[in-house]
Amino acid sequence: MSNGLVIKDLRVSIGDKEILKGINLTVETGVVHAIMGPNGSGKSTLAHVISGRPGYEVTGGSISFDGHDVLDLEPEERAALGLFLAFQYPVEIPGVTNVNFLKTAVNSLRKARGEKDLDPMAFLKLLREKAKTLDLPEDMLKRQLNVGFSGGEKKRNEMLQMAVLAPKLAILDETDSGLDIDAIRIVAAGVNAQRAPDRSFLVITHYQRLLDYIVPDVVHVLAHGRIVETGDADLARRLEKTGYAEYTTAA
Amino acid sequence: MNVIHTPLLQDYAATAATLPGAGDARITALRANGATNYRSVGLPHPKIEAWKYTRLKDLEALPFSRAGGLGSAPDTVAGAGLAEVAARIVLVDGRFVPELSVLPIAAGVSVASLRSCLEAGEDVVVQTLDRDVDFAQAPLAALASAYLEDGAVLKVADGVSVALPIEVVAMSTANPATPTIAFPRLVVSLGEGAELTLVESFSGPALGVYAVDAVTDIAMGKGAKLKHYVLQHEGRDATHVSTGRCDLPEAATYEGFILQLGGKVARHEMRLRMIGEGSEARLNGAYAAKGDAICDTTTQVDHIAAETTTDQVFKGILDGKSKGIYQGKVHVFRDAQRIVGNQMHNALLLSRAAEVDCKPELEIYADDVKCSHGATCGELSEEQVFYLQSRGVDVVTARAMLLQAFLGETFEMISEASVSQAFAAKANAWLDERERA
Repeated sequence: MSNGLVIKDLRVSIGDKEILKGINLTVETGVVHAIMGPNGSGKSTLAHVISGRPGYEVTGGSISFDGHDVLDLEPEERAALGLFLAFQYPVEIPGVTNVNFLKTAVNSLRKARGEKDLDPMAFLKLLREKAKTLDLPEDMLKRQLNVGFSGGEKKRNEMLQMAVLAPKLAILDETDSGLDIDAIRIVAAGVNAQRAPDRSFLVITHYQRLLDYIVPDVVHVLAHGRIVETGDADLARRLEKTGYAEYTTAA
Repeated sequence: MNVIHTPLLQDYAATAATLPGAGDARITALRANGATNYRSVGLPHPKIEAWKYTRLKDLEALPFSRAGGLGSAPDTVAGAGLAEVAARIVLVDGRFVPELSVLPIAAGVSVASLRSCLEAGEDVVVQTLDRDVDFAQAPLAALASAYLEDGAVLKVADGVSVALPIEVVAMSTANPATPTIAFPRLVVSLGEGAELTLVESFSGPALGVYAVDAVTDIAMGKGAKLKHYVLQHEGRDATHVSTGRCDLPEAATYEGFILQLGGKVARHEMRLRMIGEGSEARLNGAYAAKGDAICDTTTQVDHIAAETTTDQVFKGILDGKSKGIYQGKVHVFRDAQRIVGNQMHNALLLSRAAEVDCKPELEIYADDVKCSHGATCGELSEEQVFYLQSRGVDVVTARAMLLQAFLGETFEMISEASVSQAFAAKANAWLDERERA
């Protein structure tokens, strides 16, 4: 079954505060959706809840991916279904090298799918290839995971993980935040190289700029925990001119 | 009121008369000094500052006696797992066992039993044993001196560099009828400019009550280089106390590592005295404890000479109701100008019932010094666990990876690659066993 991501009337709270107030969203296979919205509208919460980050209480609704009920699954089981989250703030893990981390991740996903471990040489070849396309120096693979990486390096490293893990749906949580225009171009090129008929994207961003490079098929505006408008790439361009004022005033 | 409790000295006078070198006044004086000091302090108690957090409950409560002759010598040597060594010296219940040992054949390197050196009254050995010890803070070292009997003496001549590690394996046995205590003793003498990698490992039966009171005395010549790695992987009912001492003369360098993974109550204490200008020491370590084990690492560094440097990094993992202790004392003497002394301790608590006590003590009498100390204590980062999970790594593997990585950073500080790998493997085996439990 491959009908993509289907979110129905999703309600999510942190403590007593309701953040998402009934989200309905379908991301079909092979399509690029963007979610834009003012700060505090619930964009990152949505990304986190789809990927299973602890600390959120789902009070209603459902999320399914290719027919599987996602909310019942552990984060690693969601990853095995093909979900991937590119973190807004990639986590530093001292003592674990980038290459060992990726090898463990690749083989964990293969194991979950009933496949054998990837041959170490084949893995290294794949890794080097992908790193090259993202303009990542090879020594970054040997370094400890994200430790001492610049903001741009961390985001490119997220794109490297995405390229190596080859998810069916990649959620990019404000991947453009903190990046200069050159870094945005590299990240966007990494995403565009991954666009495929069997892969969809959910690009979460505050700014329209990233969407100049990753042109979405569908754009949603999230405000006050609800999707308030849906359109095509033109909607993003319009927002660039008008800002979010029209959505932030009406609570 | 404190009652001084001095078990283990029953029939001491009669026993002392039978110990090797009993006819040598210098040796009998060493023993008498140990016995007197132990009698005046007794078993450690919390009012002794250096023993604030660690009580030797089994020694207090159970009728221990001195481990006798070779009852049943273990048939496998449980060392640190090094593939290649220049020599392997095996002590069972503190007694040198040549049949189990692999002795060196290199020129300028010698190994002998301490018993034979005491019987011969060897000057170097007697002098190395006869050094100032603060017995008031180290009553178990005093007790070990009272029973000075056997162990090993390792000597490396001036200018000799030993390429492969020399391993000293101190194994204990447990007597089901009565708990016993052994006193393994190691004397190391490094000549001027000599270089040695010394690996000490302490082990015993997985189950069965026993105690170890070990002392290691190291004397270094000018410009000597010592790598000194200690693995304590005693059985889970063991009481382990060991006290190491090393003096660093001019331009000597010392790189130490203490890995503690076993014992019910374990304490490893290392004392470094920077007596010569330009001497440098790095002393790092790692430990892991679970159940209701107590694991204590105590260091004392005396900066006596100017322009000396010490650096310490220790990390520990504590699970269950275990307790970890790190005490780091740095004493900078008045004339020890332009010294550097750093220490850091990081602990990871895997359970809410676990405890860590960390006590840095800086006593500084010079005015041109750079000293630092730091400590952290926390839980496994849920953010890191989630990051790994989000990439498909299951939660058990993710946690294991993070724990390995936490301790793993310390093993990278071991410059001897074979020991670094062997110690990491021991720690990982501990983590695997914990995971399975």
